[in-house]
Amino acid sequence: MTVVGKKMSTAQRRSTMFLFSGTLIAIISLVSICYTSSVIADTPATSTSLNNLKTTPLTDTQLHTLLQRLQTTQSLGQRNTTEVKPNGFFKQTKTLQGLPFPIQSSGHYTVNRNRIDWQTTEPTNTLTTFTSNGSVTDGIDNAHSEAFSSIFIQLLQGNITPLKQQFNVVAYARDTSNSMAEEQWALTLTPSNALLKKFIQHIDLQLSSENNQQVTLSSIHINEANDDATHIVFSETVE
Amino acid sequence: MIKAGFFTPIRIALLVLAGMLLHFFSFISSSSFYSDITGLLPSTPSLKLIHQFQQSDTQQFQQRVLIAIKPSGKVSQNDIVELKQAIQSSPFFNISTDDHDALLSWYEQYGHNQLTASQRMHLKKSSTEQLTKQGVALWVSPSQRPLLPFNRDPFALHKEWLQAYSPPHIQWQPNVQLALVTASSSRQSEQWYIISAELTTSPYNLEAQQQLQGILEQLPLTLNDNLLVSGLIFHAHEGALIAQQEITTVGSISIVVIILLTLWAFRSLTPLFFVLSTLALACFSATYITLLVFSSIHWITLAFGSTLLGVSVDYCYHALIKQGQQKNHQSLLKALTFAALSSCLAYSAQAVSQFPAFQQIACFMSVGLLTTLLVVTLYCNHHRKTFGTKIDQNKSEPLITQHKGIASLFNRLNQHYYRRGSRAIKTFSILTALLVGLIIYLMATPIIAFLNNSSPEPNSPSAAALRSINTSSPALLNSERHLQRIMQQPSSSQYIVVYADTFDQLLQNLELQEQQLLPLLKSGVINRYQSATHYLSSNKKTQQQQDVLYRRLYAKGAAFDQLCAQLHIPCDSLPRDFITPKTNAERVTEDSPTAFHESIITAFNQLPIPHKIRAENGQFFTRITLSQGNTYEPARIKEQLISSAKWVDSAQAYGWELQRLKHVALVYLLFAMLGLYALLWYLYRSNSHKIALLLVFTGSFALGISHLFQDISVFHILALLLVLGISLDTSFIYQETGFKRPTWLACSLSCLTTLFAFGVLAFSQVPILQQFGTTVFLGLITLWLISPYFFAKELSEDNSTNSSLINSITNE
Repeated sequence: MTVVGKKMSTAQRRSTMFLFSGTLIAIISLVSICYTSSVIADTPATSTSLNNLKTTPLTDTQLHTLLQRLQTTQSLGQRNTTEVKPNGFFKQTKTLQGLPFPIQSSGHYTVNRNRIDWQTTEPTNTLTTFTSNGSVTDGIDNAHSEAFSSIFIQLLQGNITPLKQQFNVVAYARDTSNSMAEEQWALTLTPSNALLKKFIQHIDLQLSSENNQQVTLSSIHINEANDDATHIVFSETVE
Repeated sequence: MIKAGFFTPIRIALLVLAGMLLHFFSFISSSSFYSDITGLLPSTPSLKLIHQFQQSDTQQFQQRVLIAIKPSGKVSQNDIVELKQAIQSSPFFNISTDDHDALLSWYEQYGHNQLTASQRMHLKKSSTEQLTKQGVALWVSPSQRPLLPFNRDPFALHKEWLQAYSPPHIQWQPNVQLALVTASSSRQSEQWYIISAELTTSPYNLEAQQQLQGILEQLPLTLNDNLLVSGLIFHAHEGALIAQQEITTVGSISIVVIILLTLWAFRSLTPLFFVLSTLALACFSATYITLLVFSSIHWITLAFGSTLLGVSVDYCYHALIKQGQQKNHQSLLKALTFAALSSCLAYSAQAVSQFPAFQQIACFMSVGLLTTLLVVTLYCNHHRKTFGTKIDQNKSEPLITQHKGIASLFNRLNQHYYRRGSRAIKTFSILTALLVGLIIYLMATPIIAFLNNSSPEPNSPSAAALRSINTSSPALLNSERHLQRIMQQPSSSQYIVVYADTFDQLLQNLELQEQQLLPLLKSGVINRYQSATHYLSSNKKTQQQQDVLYRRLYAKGAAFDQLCAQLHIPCDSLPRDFITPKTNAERVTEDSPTAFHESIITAFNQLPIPHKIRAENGQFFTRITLSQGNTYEPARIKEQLISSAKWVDSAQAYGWELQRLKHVALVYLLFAMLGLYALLWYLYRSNSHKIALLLVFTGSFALGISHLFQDISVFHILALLLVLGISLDTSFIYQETGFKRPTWLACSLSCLTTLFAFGVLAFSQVPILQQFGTTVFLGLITLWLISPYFFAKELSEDNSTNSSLINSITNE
């Protein structure tokens, strides 16, 4: 009883405090982890998904203005066929059904008036040229690629308006109030005709603009009807 | 309580009629009538195999609608897309790529060992590095879209296979949502947009036909002018239009003539009501019973059946003209019964012709005539009971027979021509013999050719006979042929049938036969051949292809391992079924051979291709279809046939079958004539030769004159049976009731109405109806002109010989 009745020594007090604060920190950490994981679990895997963004739908007029800005920007970037300097670089991730491992590739691309040269450098050197008549990979014609080719060219040229004939376009502006310098938008293109629906579920585009300047295409995410997905991230420099 | 006397024959007939009407309206629908041209073709054992293949062709052809449009200044690409959307929005059509899915599904299940010739070459020539690089490019390119996943076909071999062996209409272009086919000829290359749709209803659905026609009419194009169409629905539509036109023309002209003649002859509405109600009842009962027997009626049957009006009205006129005459009444009914039965007999001969359409016509006409006979008998009995002997003979006689002009015409004809002519029976006999001899001479050449079994020329009677059953316009047929050329569709009438005792042997025989055809391909005799070998291989060939695949792609350290390494995929963890797919022989060991063959044949026969495999009585059959080359010669193809292959020309086979039927019909006719002569001799003894002579003269004259305009076909012979039936009717009437003014008038009126009906048919657009009409028209004209010569003498003879019934009939 003498021990109980005694006042706690300084060492005992310190160890108790340490234990208490340690437990408190552990509880706070645990709660934080749980909260974070629940938030992550609620959002889709792809970072480009609209649900990940605090967004505001665009009106038709706003969308029209945005698409005009995008087209102007992309057309400024178009080069004559003689130039060899690429417009930018890409990093592509393909997720295929029946394959538990994504296929990654990277390279650079050049947008010209009527064609796109898509040079893959990793894992192997392959040049695919897209024209409105289809695509050719290393001199071999890719049969029945006309549809994708013409869509792909229009996407990379920022010429989205003609695609409205084949797709329903929905656009959102991302709330970037904390970042005064950057604007971001997300566009979802859903096929409106049955034949395209047979191949494509939807195409998500990420657009951005810094300092109210040019609007550029940041990424394309293509969800195919068979649940294959292709995610392409564009950059101006090699990452 | 119903009184005992309630059930009079007329009341019973009315009750039966009411029941029939109720039943008729309960089952009649738009599907009760059809215009399928193949329904006219004969079905005999010798054509069984051709029929089986034709059936599968028809099944594919009849549900498919193909439209080809050449882009031009008149029509933009958007117009074509709009047209496609209009077709798509219709509930009767389904535009889908199901055919593509069916082929892909077949490849997934059975086709993993299948390689195209160029794939085999490519695998043999390319290095492992090249194959690997192509594999990598395939999976990293954003534009490549393999239809099977990586773990099923890592080198996407299915893409080239599908491209090589899919029918052109399946290879659509998603960017314009249309299939674009390039047709190349020696002179030019042209592009056509193809719209392919599947019918969700029968091609004979009139609403679907009209809707499609309406959609196409929105284009500022006419057939063969940048617009081509193919599909049974178009032929059915034309067939239905022609048949409807024929029915309307023949039916309305007959009705108008009948109404006018009846009103002019009898000057009263009661006979007109009697005539029209008899015709309505005859047509109704004919349609009703034919529908009950055959469940549906061909439009050709209805078109031909509309001539029933012309024949039925004869009976009505005889009844109306003879009404009230006690003795005439009995002899008339006897004559009409003989006439109806003999006509039915003639139609029954058509029923054994093995032509479904003719069987329907036989049923339709026989029922119609028997109904007419029944109604006329009831009418005569009712009239006799009502008026009996109280009726004043002069008053009861119709106005027409008392008409002064008619009487004077008859008297003049009788005095100056008929009586004189009747003395010239010997001359008629000589003329008949000459006519018969001439016909035998004219028909001898084709008969000898047929007996010698020599090949008919394209313009021979057999080929013409086949063409005559066609109801489609030349423009539609040209469009069909042109589109078939563009789509590189093989000939569906000329092909090679290959057979074997076992399934694998069949595939081996096919491969062997195709090797034999290679020189013909190189020399341009044929452009292309297609068979089941594109989709199935024999065990031996499967093994060979599997060896190539394994060695070049899937062996250790080969292209597949390198592909996995470059894509950073640990492929060892993937299921590798695709690397060693099973051969058919291996599959058979898992299951019983019969069950396996049944399942693979069933699956194969569901593919959208015309190369079905048939298994029957322990034998397997299939065919190799050919696209004709510039130097196409069937004789050179026949030289290359292996022992278990047979050359089939279905158009020729059908042509020969029609020829055979013609000769069979001639033999029937000969025996029928002999039987008839025996019957006539039994009934009329010495007068029987006159009737027989009249029949032979009328028949041979009609056939001989028809032969001057066109080659005699089986349809002329069938028409001849009708001529003989009607000739026999007239003979019985004259023989039984005597050659007198009322009888002559009744026969003349009858001939006139029937002539109008068949005369209109002679101008039909359908060759089969036209041939029928011409022969019957000529036969009836001859009958009307010469029959009085054979019976006019009876009047003078009756007074002295006191021999026949006629003696007691007339008091004219």
